[in-house]
Formats: sequence, C-alpha cells, structure tokens
Amino acid sequence: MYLQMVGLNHKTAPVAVREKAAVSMEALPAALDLLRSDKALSEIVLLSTCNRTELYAILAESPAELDGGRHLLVEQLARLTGMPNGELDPHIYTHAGPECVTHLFRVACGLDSMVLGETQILGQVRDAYLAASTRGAVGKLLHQLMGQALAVGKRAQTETQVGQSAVSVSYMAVELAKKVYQSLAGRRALCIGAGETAELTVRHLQAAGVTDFVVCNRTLARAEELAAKVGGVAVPLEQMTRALQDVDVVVSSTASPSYMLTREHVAEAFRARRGRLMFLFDLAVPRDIDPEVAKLDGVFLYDLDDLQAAVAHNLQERAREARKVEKIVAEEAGKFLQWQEAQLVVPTIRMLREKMDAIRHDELARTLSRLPDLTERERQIIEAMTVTMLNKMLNDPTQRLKLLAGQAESRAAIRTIHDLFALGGSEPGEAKAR
Amino acid sequence: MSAVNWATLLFGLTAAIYTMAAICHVIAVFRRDWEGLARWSTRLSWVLQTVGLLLLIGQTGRFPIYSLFEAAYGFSWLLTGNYLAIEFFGNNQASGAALIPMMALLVILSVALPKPVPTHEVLLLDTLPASLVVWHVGVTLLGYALFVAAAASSMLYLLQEGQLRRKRFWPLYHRLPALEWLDLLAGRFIAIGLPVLTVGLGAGVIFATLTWNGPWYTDPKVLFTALSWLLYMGLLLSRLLLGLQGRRAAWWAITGAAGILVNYFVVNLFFSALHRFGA
Repeated sequence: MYLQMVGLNHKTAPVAVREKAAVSMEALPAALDLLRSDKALSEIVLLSTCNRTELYAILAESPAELDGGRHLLVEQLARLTGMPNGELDPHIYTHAGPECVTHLFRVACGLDSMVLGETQILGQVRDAYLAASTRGAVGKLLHQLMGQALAVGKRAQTETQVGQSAVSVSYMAVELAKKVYQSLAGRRALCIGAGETAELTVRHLQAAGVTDFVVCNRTLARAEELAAKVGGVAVPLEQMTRALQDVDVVVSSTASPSYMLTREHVAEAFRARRGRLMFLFDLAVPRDIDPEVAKLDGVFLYDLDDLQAAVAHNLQERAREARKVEKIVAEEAGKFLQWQEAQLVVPTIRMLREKMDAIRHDELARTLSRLPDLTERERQIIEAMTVTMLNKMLNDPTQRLKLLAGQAESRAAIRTIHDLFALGGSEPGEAKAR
Repeated sequence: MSAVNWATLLFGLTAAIYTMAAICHVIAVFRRDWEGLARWSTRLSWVLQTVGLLLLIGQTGRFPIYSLFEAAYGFSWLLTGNYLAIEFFGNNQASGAALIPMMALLVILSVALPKPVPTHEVLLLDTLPASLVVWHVGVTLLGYALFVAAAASSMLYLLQEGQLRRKRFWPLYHRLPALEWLDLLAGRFIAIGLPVLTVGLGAGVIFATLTWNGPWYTDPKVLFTALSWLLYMGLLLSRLLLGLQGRRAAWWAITGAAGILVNYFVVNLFFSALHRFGA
C-alpha cells in the first residue's frame, strides 16, 4: 500500500515527447491490462490528455530505495509507450503519498493546466478513472482518491470562479456580448470578412445561441462559403449598411487598409434600430471600424487590443480565484489523508479485538467445563460478564486510537500495540504511504 | 434609562451600522474582499431596524405610517428586507451597491426627523375616513418603493454601461446582469409603480376633498407630487411610444427617485403647511 505517481506534462516535456507518451482512449483498456500484468502494482489509473500523461499507482510493497517507486513506474510507462527509458526519464516528475494526493487534486481543478482553471480536465480525470475502474484496476484506496478528486474539481467549479471567465479573444467577444444582451439566443450577427478569425468567433457566437448570420465579403464567393458553413446568408458589400440595421452583433475582420464602417454608417443604422443596443467587434489589423463609432450612445466597440486587454484582465481574475482553489485542495487533501490514516487504525483495532476475544472464548470454555453443576442461567451470567469486561477494557484504547488517526503519533501507537500485544500478520504501520 | 432613551440609542446605532453597510457596499464595487463585511453589516443593521420597528409599534400601538419618521423607517425596513432576500436566495449582492446607500440615507434622515406624535394627538383621524389615509400612505409608499427599485436598477445599468464603455472592469462588473435586462427591469418597476402611485394619490385626493376645506391642491407637497407623477408618466410614455431606453432612461428614473426623496423630506418638512404626517 504505497501511493505514487509519475508523469509528464506541458511544462516538463515538449510536444514531440508528449505525443509519443500519450495513450488514446481506445488504447487505454489494453494499456491498463498490460500494467496490471505486473504484480508490483496493485491499483492503477492512467490519465492521458494532449497536455499530460500521468500514471497513478498503489505499489504492492513499499520500495526499498528512495527512488524505487519512481524507477518502477517509469519502467512501466516506458514499457507501455515503447519509448526508451532514457528518453522518457528527463521529463518525468513524481509525487508520492500526500504530495501525490495534492497533485491529483490540483490537476482535477485545472490548477496544473496550460490554461489556468480550465474545466475540461475534470472530465478527462473522470474518464481515466472510469476506464481503470471498468478494467478492475482500481481498488479501495484509488476509488476513494479518484472519487474525492472528482468531488474537489466540482467544488472548485461551483465555489470559485476559476474557470468561468473567457481567456481567448474570440470567446471574450461572446462574454462581452452577454453583458449587453441577457441571452444571445435568437440574435442576429453580421460578419464582415470571411477569414479564419471571423469563422472562429462566429462558431463561438453560434454555440452561445446566435442563430442568424449575415456574411459580407469583398468576394461574394468567400462569403457564400462561410455562410454555408454556419447556416447564414451571404450579402454583397454594397448591402452591408442595410444589413447593419437588423443585427445586434458585428464581427469585422477584413484585410482592408481603410475603414469598412464609418461613424455615419453606424449612426444611420442605429437610428433605424430605435435605440436598441449594438455591439461591434473589430478583429482586424489595421482596423475596419472607425474608433469614432464608440462615441455613439448605445453602441459598444471593442478592437483587438481591447479584447486582448480584457483577456489579460480575466487571466488575473483566474489567478486570484486559483488561490481559493488551493485552499480547497489543501482542505480536501487533509480529509483524504485522515481517511487513509483511519484505514490503518481499523485493522489494528480489529486484530486486537480478535485476539482478546479468542482468549476470552478459550478461558470461558475451560472454566465452564470445571463447573458442570451450573444452571443454564448461571452459565449465561458468567459469559455475559466476560463479554462486558472485554468491552470495557478495550473501550479506551479503541476510542483513543480512532482519535489519533491522522495525527503523527498514530503510527507509533499502532506499532506499540502490535509489539505489546504480539499481534501477528503484516504490520499496517509499515504499509502506509510515506 | 427610560425606554425612550433606549429607543433613541437603538435608532442611532441602526443609522450608524447602515452607514457602515453603505460604505462597505460602495467599496465592494472596487474591492472584492469587502463583500463579506458589506453583507454582514447589512444583515445586522436590518436586525437592529426590526427591533426598533417592533419597539416603535409597541410604544405607539399603531401601524407605523402616521409620522414621517415612522413611514420612512418602515419603508426602508421593507426594501432592505426584500434586498436581503434577493441577496440570500439569489446569492447576488450586486444590487446592494445601489440600494443600500439609498436606504442608509433614508434611515439617517428618518432618525433625524421629529419623533412620533403620541396617538391621542392624531385621534382626529379616527373620526374621519381614517382607513382612506392608511390606504393613501400605504399604497403611495409601495409606489415609491417600486420607483426606488427602478432607480437602483438604473444605477446598476449606468455602472455596467460605464465599465463596458471605458473597458475597465471592477470586481462588481462580474456580478452584474446584462444591460438589456437591467433596462427591462427598471421599465417594469416603473410600469407597475405608476398605476400603484395613481391609486395611492387617488385615495389622497378623495380624502382631501372630503375633509379639507379650501384649495388643498395648492399645497407645495401636493404640487410637487403631481410633478413627480408627470415625470414618471413622461418616462413611461417615452419608453413605450418613443422607444426610449438605455442611459437616458436610466438618468430619468434616477432623477425621479431623487425627486421623491426631496419631496418626502425637504418639501414635506419645510414648505408644506397643510399636508404633513400626523398633522
């Protein structure tokens, strides 16, 4: 019973190494079976995403040397991925015991991710856990650990805002638009230019509920192409001003050297809208929309710099929220370690009680055989007395051991009890994660 | 110490904690770590106010709308109570930034006002269609509450709009609802508030015609109230017919609420001879 993990991620390994070390969802069952064929590992979970490959394991025996666990697991990983040990090793990090718990919880919360606080990782942890569980690779300890990791990730998402604000320019546009319009469902958007940036932003708007798209481009064929992709209509450039009246969101990203939309264009369209608010995003460099437009009351204009500044602001917000998440992680890791300690105390209590009960049983039988004249009722009274005596004598040590669970002295106490009462079997104090 | 002194102390304390809550709410617009203090000080001030209100009812033995002090005190209690429910169940204290400073102002003003007149001095009311007065004051105050809510919503609109326009975001920004929604909300409060106010004023008109001799309608407070009514009517019509919305509508609603406060405290106390609470 020794908990350890090894892994590599976007911080320790370049993409060339990461892609070789990755195990696809399809290959995962076979990989788990392969790992389980080694009797040194009693429980395993393999987490593999595009940014990390991590192997969590319960070693059957505590490693003799300091690096023993690491060597063992890296070997397994090398065997699994077919990468030479030497190629893998420089990128590997390892955590054992409490640090391993904390690391997994941080991963589940997105604190270890490339984009701080991203929430996709939690689903990936869940998938890894389920896959391992289905292959029978997960025992009591990892069940508890992974189950709690999922709960921690969920807590981080509901109790903090670490993953809530937009951290990409195109998603930022959606987030800002939502600050003006309660919902984007059923809104209309105008897309000026049909390039890649335009398409990405349109996709985000579409996911947020925008249904009607008007695409406007210098070459109509390109506009029609994008319009077909997103289910919108293409209009020639000459009709752009007309189209402007009916849309709530404008995304502009042409290569035009001069302004596509002037203050007069927008002012005219805005008047026709009878005061309904408009949000314009200028993703082009050089800019497509005259900055003067922003001076119109009820019109919001954000250019690429503004969006990037807002993204930087959101990243700072996430970092601030991440501090709250770290607290949650520390708290939950403490809970897990306490649970783990309690698991150590329980067998000791059980062994102690079994031994005492066996003695009681033997002595009772011997005594009763020397007193053949007792009535059934008298025999019962004597037996009840032995049970009560045993319970009362064991009550204090049992309670105190339970109280010690999770504290530093518990291991010493467990060892002492094993020594004093000559309890046989494997000594749990040795078996716990260091 | 006599009961009255205790009450005075309590009212003063309530006003002080309210002020603190208001300051915390305003700072929380910029600094997130003040949110907790803002929340708890508001709750505390409301609890104190509840005790004060019960004490008041115990002392006077009547529903607290007969004096300016009582009405303002009860009115702010009602609004803060509603706000606390929104904050607690909706888990959103964004509206506190606009509402709590207003409530604090109301409580400070009400505490500074003349204290309640003992019941026997307003016995006059019992011989008259007194229930009409209760209706007049109660319903009018309900209308005012809706207008204050509209003003709070409008303030949040301006806060949010300003940040979106300047592209600089304070912590409160993340908790504010969408502009369109705030605008709609203010519009709805006014659309409901205006008929309510009309009913309340109607009751007042009937009462005045029945009991007051002479041209009661030239009283400054009555004239000022008519002006507020026209102002809100104008706003409602502009919204409905001309599609007025956004920043200008928000300023209009805030002006209206400010007018109500002026009418309530300044005009009522210093200019109106006839139309006074408890008179």
